[in-house]
Amino acid sequence: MSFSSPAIINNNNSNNNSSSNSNNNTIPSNNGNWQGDLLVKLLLRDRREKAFTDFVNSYNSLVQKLGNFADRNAQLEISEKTATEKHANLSLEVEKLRELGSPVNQKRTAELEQQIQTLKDERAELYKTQGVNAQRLLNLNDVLRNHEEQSKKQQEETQRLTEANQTLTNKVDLHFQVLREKDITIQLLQDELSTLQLELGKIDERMKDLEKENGQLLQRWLKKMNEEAEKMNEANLFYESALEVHAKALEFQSGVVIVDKEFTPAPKSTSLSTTLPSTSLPPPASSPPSTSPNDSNNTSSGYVRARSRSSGPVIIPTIVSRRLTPHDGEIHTIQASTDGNYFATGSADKTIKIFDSTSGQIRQTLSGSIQSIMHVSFNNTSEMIAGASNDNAARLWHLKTGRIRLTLTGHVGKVYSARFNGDSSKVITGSHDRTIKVWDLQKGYCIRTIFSFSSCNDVVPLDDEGTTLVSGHLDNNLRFWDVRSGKDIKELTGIHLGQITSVSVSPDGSKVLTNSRDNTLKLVDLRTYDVEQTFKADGYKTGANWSRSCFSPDGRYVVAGSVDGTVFYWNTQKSKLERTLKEHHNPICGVSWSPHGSQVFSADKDRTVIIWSGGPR
Amino acid sequence: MTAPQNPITRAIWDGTLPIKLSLDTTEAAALGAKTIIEPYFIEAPRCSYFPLLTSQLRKYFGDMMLNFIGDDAEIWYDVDGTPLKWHYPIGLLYDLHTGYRPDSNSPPPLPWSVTVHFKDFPADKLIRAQAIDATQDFFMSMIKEADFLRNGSTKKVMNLSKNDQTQLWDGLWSKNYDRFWSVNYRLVMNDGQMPRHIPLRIYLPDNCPVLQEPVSPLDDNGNPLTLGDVLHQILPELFPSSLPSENSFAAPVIHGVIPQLDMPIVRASQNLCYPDNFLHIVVLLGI
Repeated sequence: MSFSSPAIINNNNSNNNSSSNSNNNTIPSNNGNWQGDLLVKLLLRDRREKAFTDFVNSYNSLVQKLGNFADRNAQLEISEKTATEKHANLSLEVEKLRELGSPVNQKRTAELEQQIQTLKDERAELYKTQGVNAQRLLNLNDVLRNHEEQSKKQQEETQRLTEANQTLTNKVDLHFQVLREKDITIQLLQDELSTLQLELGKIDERMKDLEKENGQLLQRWLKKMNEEAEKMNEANLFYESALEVHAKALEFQSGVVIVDKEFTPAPKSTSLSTTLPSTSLPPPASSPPSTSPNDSNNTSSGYVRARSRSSGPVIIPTIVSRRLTPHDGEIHTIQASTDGNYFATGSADKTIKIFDSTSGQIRQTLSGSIQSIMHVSFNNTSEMIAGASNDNAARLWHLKTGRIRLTLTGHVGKVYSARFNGDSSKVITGSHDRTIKVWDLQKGYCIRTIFSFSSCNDVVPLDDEGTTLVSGHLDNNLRFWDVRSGKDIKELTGIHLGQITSVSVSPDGSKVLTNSRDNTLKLVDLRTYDVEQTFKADGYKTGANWSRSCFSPDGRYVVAGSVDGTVFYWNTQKSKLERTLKEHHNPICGVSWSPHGSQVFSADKDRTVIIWSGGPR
Repeated sequence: MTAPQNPITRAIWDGTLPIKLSLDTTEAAALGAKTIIEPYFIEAPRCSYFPLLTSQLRKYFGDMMLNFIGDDAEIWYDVDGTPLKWHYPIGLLYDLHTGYRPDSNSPPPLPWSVTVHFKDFPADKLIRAQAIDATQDFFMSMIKEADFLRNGSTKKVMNLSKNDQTQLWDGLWSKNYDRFWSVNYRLVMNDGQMPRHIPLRIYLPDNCPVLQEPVSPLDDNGNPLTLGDVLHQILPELFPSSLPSENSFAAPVIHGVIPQLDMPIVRASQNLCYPDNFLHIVVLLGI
């Protein structure tokens, strides 16, 4: 290396020198030549400095190989070392084996073998004992396991019981809590109760005050009513006096005094009662014009007398003396007056018409009802007429004046029946609102409401005072009432199979006649409440829910109208059908026997009214 | 001429030096060497740094049964008793220490003989912490300094992506020319702008301090300065004229060659700078 390199370097240097010299000499200011120059110079430099590249490279590879050899050598050394160790161990073993092979050792070996034998025997025995022990151990283990299982079970049991105890304790706590809450609630309720009692006391006081006030007001109102009644009386008085004056004037005009024979049945006839037949006004059947119920006490000493007044001979009238069609609407009811001089009809045209019973002429038309009239009845003196209406009200008309005297409102259903008591101090009404009301005519308001449990089709007072009533109902039952207590005296069930359409009391007051939609009529004894007689006939069918039948004035006959327009007469003593008369062509809604005994009035749905009279005995 | 495939830069990049690394004999005994350990021969790139050789060296001496367990930073190098500065490129160190003028007739022997030391780090003469990381930090800071001299700021370097920055060092480390220059090209060419100053350092023999002055690439009239002009400016006594003919006494050596003095300083910087972007000029005297 050291020999060759200087030569090369010298060469380089000489080249370098020449090039640099030439550069220096020839191109001192040549701008572009420095690159070439540089490249040449660098090339020369590299030629010198890279002369050893090959040497270094081969050296490097040799170094690497050397490293590899060194590694391999190290490995080989390690393996050699282990081999030597192995060899040493082996030689040691060989030494030992050699020692064992000597005669002393053989003897010793025999001894040792013997020892081994004995030891083996011992060991076998020990094995046996061990086996026994193992067996015992197993048994003991079993016992132990059993015990453990038992204790485990007991523990579980204990745990279960503890849990149960816990839950029970919790429950007890809960109950205690609930109890406490309830105590609190009770306390609260007691407090509330005491406050409510206090309030109740206050309210009681207030109620007492109010009652007092109410009493005062009632008193005042009554006073007012009395005043009003007096005014009314005065007005009536005035009206009647005016009429009298008018009659006198007429009398003077005509100069003739006519005594109307038709009015002879009236117990008294004053000279003032003479009028023309056509325009005749009802004669003052009872003495001076008295309308207030108070005065009615004077007129009739009783119901019985009124009934016994049926003077004329009772015959079944067979001849049609008059046939009338007075109304614009369907006729619902017909009723003869108590003195037998008139009869009245109530109709769907909202009017009541009063007829002369002999001539059949319309005497009066009473209007004022808002709905159709279901029932009409006269009072004992035939001065007033009561009309029950579908407009939930009953009205009283004064026949003399033809004006409404009272309107009885209070029912909430159709009123099907309205009747006076004997002295005309009260009116009893029966309604489809399931009540029966008793009205005091003097006070003008309802004094008793009886709850009858069923719609009432007809109600009749049983005595003069009107303290006991009998009523026929939609539920087929007949009921008896005490007005004073407002309670049920007797309820007859099962006597009819259809609703009861009418109830009427026999003239002697001992029996009740009922008419029913089961097409029978029954006679009930008031003392025993037994059905005494049953009237029925082929072709007899009740025409309407409000069909009314009646007794003859002497009570020997009963009369009823059928759906086909036939009038049926039964004999109550012989208990047989006496007569049938067919003149109507439509369902008959009502019949009424005149107290005179010789006339019967009947009406049918088709607005026909027939006056029956006379006929062979 | 300034394309990445510049033959001059390529030649400079490929330049190598054969080095003979021998162990200090006294140290070898102290470190448990039983026999004489043969020196290690290596061909190192002129642009590289000594710390990059250390790991290779260490493996070799380890294989030679040398018992050394210290840090890489403990290893240092000297030539004829003078410690080598690890932060100078190897080529610069060679030029500086051999003092060989390529135009003279007495070339020093090759391979370059360097002694390796594993002990007694001369902390008074060398900077500690010459591990590879420190070398990289130093290298990057040199590039930043060069950029600052060129532009008055280090924006160009700092704006490089992290990837590009590591690519510079990785390229140097793995001796990959394309990898290094694809990034370095932008820095060196300064994006075609005339730099404010030329990053250059001048080394004088006999332990004179390193000269580094701001050198403008143009004169007052705007004409480009040549290498000769610059040397004349800085060392008027050694370079009495900017023309090469009159300067036979002193010669500038770069990369082991003496470039022409009429070369524009900008071109010199662009073509002959080391990878740290500095133009390291060793001025040698006499023949």
